[in-house]
Amino acid sequence: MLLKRLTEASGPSGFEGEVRDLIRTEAAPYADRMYTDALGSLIVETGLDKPGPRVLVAAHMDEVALMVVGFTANGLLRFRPIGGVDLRILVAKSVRVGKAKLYGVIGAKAVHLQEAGEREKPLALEQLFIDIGAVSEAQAKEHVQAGDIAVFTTEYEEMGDGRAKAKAFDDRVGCAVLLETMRGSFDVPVVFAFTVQEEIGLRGAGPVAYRVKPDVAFVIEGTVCNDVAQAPSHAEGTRLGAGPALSVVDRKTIVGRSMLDFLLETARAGDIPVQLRRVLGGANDAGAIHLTEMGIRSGAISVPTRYIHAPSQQISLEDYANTKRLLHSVLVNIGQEGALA
Amino acid sequence: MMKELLEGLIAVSGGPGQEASIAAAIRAQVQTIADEVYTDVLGNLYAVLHASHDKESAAGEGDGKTVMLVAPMDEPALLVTDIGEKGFLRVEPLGQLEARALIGARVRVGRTGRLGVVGVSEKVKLDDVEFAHLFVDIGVGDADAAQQHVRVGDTATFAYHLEAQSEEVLIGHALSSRAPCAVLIRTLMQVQTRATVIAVFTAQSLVGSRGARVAAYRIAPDLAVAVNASPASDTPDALPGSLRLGGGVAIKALDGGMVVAPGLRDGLLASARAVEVTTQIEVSPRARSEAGAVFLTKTGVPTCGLAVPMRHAGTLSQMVDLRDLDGAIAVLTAYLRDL
Repeated sequence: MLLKRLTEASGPSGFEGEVRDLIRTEAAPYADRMYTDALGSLIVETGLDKPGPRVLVAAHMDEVALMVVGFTANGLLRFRPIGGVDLRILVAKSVRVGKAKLYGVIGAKAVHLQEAGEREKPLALEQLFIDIGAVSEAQAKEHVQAGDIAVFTTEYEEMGDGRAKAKAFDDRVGCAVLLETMRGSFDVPVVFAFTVQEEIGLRGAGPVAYRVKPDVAFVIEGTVCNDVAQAPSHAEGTRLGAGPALSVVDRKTIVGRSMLDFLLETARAGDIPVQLRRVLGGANDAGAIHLTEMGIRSGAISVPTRYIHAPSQQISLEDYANTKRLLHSVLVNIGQEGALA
Repeated sequence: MMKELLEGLIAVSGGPGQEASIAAAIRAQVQTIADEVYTDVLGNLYAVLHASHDKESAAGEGDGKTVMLVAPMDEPALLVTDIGEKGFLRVEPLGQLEARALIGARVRVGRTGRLGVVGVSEKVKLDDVEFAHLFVDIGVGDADAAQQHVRVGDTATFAYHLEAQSEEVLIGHALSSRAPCAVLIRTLMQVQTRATVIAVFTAQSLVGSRGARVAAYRIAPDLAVAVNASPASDTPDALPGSLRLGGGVAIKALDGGMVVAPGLRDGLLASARAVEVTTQIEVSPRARSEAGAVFLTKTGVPTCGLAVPMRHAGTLSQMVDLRDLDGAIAVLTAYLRDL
């Protein structure tokens, strides 16, 4: 199962190798040409002989994670977040550390021992550590070195009414959409790019866009979904199960009206439910792509993801299926005359 | 004439990412004077003036050079992110706007230009007001009625017009972009130069000079001159800065995006002296212009700048002095002539 293998693979920003290897194997049968660039992004070119606009479709491989930065005398690991991790959610979570994927748990003082005041404040980074069961600094260093990464251990599982939970749906769900979409046949040259280091500043996507020089680009993402208790409509961002979310604006991109209208019309014609991403916060690879060289028309389609950047993220499998349908229709329609008037 | 030009430019709305209308208005001004006018993916408007080779002298330094003039086109706006059941709109800011300063402001929304008023939740203290507490009241009863006027993703711009305080001093909500645009338009109308001049009216300046970045990449000019409006510091308790309203056009030494090379700065000063225009020197560490995005393009672009001093920057009542604007046009025209 693609989503399971992709989400359970380890791929913090800058350490995307395991995910990349998995994607490379999956993509090989459909690629005209496939290569990685200097930063580690995987570029899969299809339909190279086709006329029409050159289309870039991008999803990022990296996930938010932790990095080991030091040791305590009694063998605990000090760490720092890679990407936007909410420190308040870390305590008591289990992780896998380093190449050996050692089991570790993010520990803290037991509730019995906390003063009343301590319980009211979230734990600071200095109060948190990863415990791999080592008894001394020397013993910990036999297995782990500073610079090793730690990822959450959540396993992919389907749950409830057509939903699934896993770590790293942001953005392995996008990677899965790309892999399944490239099995189709389109009348335009499509370059599928699996980018690195999105979570630490959209770093991989710019060089990819510079290399590929597409006429138009689409970013497939997992995005914020806050449709939970007490959120008024305007604070939701997106709603789970209401279809792929089209970006209007975020911190790094204002999507052009013609792009938005093209996506809305494609969805309408294909009878695919979509929603607009109704929040300014956040950003994705489109922010780097659309400002490349003389400017590249870019759109973003996202799978709403509850509890994003946390260990147990949740998506609707129907949203996932509809995102694939929408991207397929987009790639069918984009070659038509005046598609992006 | 300058006042009429500004009146026309400020009457057209153009929030970041939604510059089509203001670009069309500027195009109408430059269509007959420019040799070429075009737009790009980001929404920038380019007006090209090929070198006028019929000039008196033979070959000069400006021959064969391409000079980019750059001014921002977009104004602060509100982006509609949600339409509530009762037809009230929720918004997020595009550009530097402070939530509580907008309470009671009038806006025009979406496709019909419906007038709206910015309201605020009464459950929150004034000091704590954020955009999540604001809404726009367009006077309809439900979401369906609101949809007739506006869709999520449309912008609301501020519904004010240009007013004259005196013969010289003008007040308007979008002068920070429209005053620099007017300077460029008027300069194009009268300039004689051996260089090829490409004036770029940029889109999305307020969200981080996004338009300027791709425009500079496209043109890769030999030289760039940025024109912007920078805060004047001659009001009570103003943050430190060098500019005075009515003190003359400012020659940029430094802003938040770049330090101008002394040689380039002196070139502008020499041209100003030659046409006897009063100037002041701009040192505005907190102000932004398009210069900061342009000069870092490709292998680097020699870039200098002129600033129009502006009081009440960041509010809906920005104030400029026509004499400073006229000075900017005179200096820019002389500088291009002298190349």
